[in-house]
Amino acid sequence: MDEAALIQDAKQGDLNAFNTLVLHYQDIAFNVAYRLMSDPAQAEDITQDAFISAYTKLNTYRGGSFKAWLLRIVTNAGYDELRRQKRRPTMQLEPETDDGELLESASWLVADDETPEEAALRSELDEAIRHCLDGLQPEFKAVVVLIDVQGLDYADAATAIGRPVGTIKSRLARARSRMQECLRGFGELLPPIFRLEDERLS
Amino acid sequence: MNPLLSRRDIEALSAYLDGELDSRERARVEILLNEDPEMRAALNALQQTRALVRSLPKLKAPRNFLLTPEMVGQQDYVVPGSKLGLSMRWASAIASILLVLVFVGDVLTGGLSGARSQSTVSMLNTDTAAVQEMQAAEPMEPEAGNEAGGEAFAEKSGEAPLPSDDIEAPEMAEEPVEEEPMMLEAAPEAEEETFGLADEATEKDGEVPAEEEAAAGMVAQPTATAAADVERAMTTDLPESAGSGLTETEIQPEPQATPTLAGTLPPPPQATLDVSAEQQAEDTDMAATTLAEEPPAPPARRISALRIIEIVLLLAALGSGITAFIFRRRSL
Repeated sequence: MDEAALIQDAKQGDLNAFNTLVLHYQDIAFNVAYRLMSDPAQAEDITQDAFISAYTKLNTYRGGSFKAWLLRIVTNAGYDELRRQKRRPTMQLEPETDDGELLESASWLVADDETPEEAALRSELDEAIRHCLDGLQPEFKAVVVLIDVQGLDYADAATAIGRPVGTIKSRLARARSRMQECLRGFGELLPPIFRLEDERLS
Repeated sequence: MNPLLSRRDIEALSAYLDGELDSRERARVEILLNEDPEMRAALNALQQTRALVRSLPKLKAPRNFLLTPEMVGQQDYVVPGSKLGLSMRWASAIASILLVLVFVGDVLTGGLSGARSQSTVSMLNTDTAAVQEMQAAEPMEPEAGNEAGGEAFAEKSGEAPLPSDDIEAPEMAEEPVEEEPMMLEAAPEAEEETFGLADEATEKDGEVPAEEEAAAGMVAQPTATAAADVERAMTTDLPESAGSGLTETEIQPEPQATPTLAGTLPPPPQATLDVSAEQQAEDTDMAATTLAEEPPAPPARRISALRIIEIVLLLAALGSGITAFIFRRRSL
């Protein structure tokens, strides 16, 4: 795929060329949106809106990593939606225990209407990781999603988030530390290294 | 976070794990790792955390997010190379507009031609009636015009002018009573002029006497209702006008009253109407009937030509539109 030629054609109004780019990047775009939102329907909406926005703003692309430029649009759309949900919360996602503390178990994340096939595919560890990821603030969550989940380097992540590489480095370190602390709460689900670390620290 | 390590050390370990440190910083971290077991344990924990997060499954997009021209407001988007489709769309639009214009023009032209043919018949009838009236009026009062006759009738009846305001009688009182016979003969003319665009007739026909022009000028608005009113007044009440109060002007105009030509008029009841006038009236009837039955040839030719143009434009619009649609479907 000649990405540069496709981008150039798309800038001149060739929608088919842009759709070729869409087919190439729609998986990563949807993954980022899904990890940010933890909701497939919202992730679909954000992904579609992001591609529409990318096409209409294509003239602002000045070169560099097109993937990072595209993921920045996805990330910003996710930020906007998360902020909107924070302003107008609809329901409490995390249940509380009898003493008012947040329930750290990942079992509540399993939907009641989930099919057996879906439940089989979704491991408890994945649910624990997702739960911890959702506990991060959006800015930290985006860094973890882009670098650790999607494998971007710091430079592309900095482009996608619109922050300097130093900020990305700092946010990623803090986010990883928080994830590590959160994952310790899931005990036997974790690899032995986590349990050994817990025993050593205690 | 390992409480035994500073934030700077944690950030360095995280970046070291990702290979994002420069050589100098990487050397410093490696020295610390060799010397400090806490650093090595922290690095292992970060490595495990990163591995766990990386283990999250990569999802496939549940559907394609392809854009359509409607999504991006690109209604007129045309794939390069399909300029013929765009040309067809323009051709279809232009042909459609022309078709509408020609159709509207056709409708308007047809209406005018119909009105013109009707006015032509009325004009000719008016001329023949004028001749008839002139011939009938000569033996009695050559200088008295149709206007005087009509006005005299109204005055004789003792009523106000016709309520339809189509026929004026401002100088009724000035007209002598002895002009009544001539009024009876002038009635057909007045009737015809009310619905026959008398102004146009008098302008086109130069030999119409001045009296008739004045009579035509008296007809303020030539409408069918006024003509029917006059006709009804003449045909119904004229025979009784001599002895009665002549209330025929109070008769309301009937909508179904067709503004017929001179042939519908009753024979003049007065003895002053001579045989020559009757003959003229018969001639007028025949002429009017003949003219009314003749179809207007020029408008018919124009309409047929317009029909052909309309059909051609319709075919062009449909053909180019279908072609453009096919091109658009293929481009998508």
